[in-house]
Amino acid sequence: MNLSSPIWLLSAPFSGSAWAAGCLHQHPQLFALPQLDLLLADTVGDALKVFELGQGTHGQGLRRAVAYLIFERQDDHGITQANNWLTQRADWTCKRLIEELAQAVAPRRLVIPDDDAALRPVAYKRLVEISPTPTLLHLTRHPWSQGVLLHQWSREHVFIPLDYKDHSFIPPLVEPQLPWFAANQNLMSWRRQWPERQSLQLSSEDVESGESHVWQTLCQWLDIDSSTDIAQAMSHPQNWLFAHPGPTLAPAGLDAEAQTKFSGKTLALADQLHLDTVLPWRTDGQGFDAQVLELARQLGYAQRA
Amino acid sequence: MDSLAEDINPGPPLSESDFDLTCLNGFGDGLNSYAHSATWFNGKLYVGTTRGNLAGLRLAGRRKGIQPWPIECPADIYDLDRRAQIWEYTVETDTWTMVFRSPTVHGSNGRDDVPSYIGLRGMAVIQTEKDPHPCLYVSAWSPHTAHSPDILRSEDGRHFEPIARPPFGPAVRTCRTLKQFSGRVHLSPTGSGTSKGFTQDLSSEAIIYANHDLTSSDWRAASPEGFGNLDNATVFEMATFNDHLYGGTVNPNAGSELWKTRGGDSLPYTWEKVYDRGAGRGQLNEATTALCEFNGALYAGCGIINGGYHYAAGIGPASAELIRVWPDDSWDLIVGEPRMTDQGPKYPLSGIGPGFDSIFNGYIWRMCVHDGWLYVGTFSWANLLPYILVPSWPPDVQTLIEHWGEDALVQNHGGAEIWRSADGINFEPVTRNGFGNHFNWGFRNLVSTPHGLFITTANPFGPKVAVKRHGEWVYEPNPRGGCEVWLGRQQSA
Repeated sequence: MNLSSPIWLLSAPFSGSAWAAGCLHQHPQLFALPQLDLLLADTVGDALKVFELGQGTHGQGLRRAVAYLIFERQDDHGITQANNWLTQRADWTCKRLIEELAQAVAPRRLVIPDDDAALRPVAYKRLVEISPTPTLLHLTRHPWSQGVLLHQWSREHVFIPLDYKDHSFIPPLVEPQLPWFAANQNLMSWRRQWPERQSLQLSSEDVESGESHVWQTLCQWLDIDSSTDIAQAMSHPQNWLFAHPGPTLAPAGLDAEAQTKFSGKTLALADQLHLDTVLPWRTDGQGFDAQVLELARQLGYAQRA
Repeated sequence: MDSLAEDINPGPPLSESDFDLTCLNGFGDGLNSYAHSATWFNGKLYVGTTRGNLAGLRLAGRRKGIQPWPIECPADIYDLDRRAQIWEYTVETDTWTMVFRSPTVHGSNGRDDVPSYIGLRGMAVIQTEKDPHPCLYVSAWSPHTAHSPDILRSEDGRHFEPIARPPFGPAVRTCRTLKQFSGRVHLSPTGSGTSKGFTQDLSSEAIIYANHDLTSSDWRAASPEGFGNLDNATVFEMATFNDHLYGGTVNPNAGSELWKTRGGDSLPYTWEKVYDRGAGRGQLNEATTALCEFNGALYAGCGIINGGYHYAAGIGPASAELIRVWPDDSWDLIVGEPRMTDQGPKYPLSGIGPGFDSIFNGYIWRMCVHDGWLYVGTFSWANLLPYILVPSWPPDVQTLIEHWGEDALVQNHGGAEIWRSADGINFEPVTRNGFGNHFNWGFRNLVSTPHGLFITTANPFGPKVAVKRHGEWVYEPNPRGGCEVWLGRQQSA
């Protein structure tokens, strides 16, 4: 395992990647960044163009990271400086930029969360160019809770990525099974291309349980300090320096779930973890698709007794 | 099927810089709009043209929302010389020779100069029972004032004669693909027209005809009308794969269907449905526009007729999908929109949205395997942007124009696209702007040859194109209007 290359924390959308990143950052040998969105392009200049054209919040995490690591601040002035700094490096490859960020946090090891890359094989190709022997953390979440949260979020937003919708309907309807299935299926496929030791599945249910043994197991896999006090500290993602909204010019930068305040009712529904009942976001009375159920089983999500 | 890349060893891929222009400006005649058919025959490339396509579209009355008309047209389309041509290319000498020009006939409009053929829409090298050796066959497009369309036959690439026609109905104007399978040659009408108008993509009959001997008139129906579904307006494309003949339809009501048959001695054949309802996307996959076998699967390009916007049926605008069909009739979505289907959740394995992430790519027009790579060519309507009234633009396009500006958008992204893939999942662009000529709105033929990959274009923006000068539209000669033919080969070869 290459200890100087980033740890890629990849997941389907609404799988708790920001929470997990916040936890990982509590380890003194790791340094988690917000979502950089650098796998969307080959060069910094192209990435900036994508951010400009995009209708979402892409690029805000990168600007927050640069503001903090290069200019040691996370206010609007720092974001402006970060933007200028990135613009001046438009000809850099994204690989070079990530190497620069890795150097800035050394000797800690970068953790890069991304809940979008797993939907696109081209992102995986870029990831492998950046990290020829990548360390992959495959973060999973039960399809029920992922679906409940994604669907609830979608009801309050205008811009919904095409990947989240079922286009057999006109107009398309939000169907969380699709991004869940696509991302996890792709990640399983990508992981199979590497020796087992290079990737690990981490469930957000385990992450959120706060149990130390989860982190100790992970730390042992990463070959970093797995002492109990460190493992306990890793259950406190709220201490992450990117855990809270950024300044006015870049308030986002984490996964959409982390930036949404869900009601207690929604969270309670999300906690039910059903696999064999009607899906609350569908109006046709259907449950999970058989292929989704099979993949859920492979990922260790069995129906609760 | 697993989405893992297959264990294959393709040759070096072709990039945009590997392609050379062998002819431009419609062989020196901007009225040669489409290099509509092409094939490799007797060591040479043959290209059949269709002439004056945009003038023809104007005649068909599809003018709503387009102003000014992009090219200069006479009031009477028969004042244009629309006699279709066949050109022959010799690689060794880099020379083009016109080997055929359509004859004229006395038309039902009273004129003596009506072309027998205004377009040559399909070509194939075929040997049937009475052919002494493989011969060149060409499917023609005839105006409604002439006769029914013909299939032309040539033994030597220089002399072309029509063979006996299938029993087309009187409204049939053209056919497209010629496919040899199970001891017979198969074709299907793909365009229709009367004095009230025409459509080049919808036929008056959705039938595949078959004939075992092209020197005879023994054409018989190989399929029931619309494969038994009258919403199937046309059998638009055919391919052979896994010992079956496949036929893809245009279905404006519910979306394209794909059917297959094992063939056999008796006609019509027994057909099995592979997918329907546009593979679960409905009308937005109105047509199966291209079929190509690659690495043990059949790749199906889809789209909406008329370039991605079937105005008369109220379908679109929307961009095209690419689907991969396996011998067991399961299929994968390669490029397109995720959805739940009868076969479970489908998401684009390439990670690329419809039209290769471009709203302008209205259909996937042609595909070809060359040196182990799958090459996919699109049709793009982006070059019509300057002529389309603003309220007609979809919101996605308006957003792009606001960001980039219309001129930059057309200049940089105005042409059709070619994409390549070694594994059928990971795609890379070869060109995203018509090889630098935004007037190339479609890549109509991709022909793999021992000398490289030939790509022919559809480029109807000649001879004179509308351009804005000092705030006024004027028609000016267009040196890059008219079809082009590109040859891609490793530059070190």
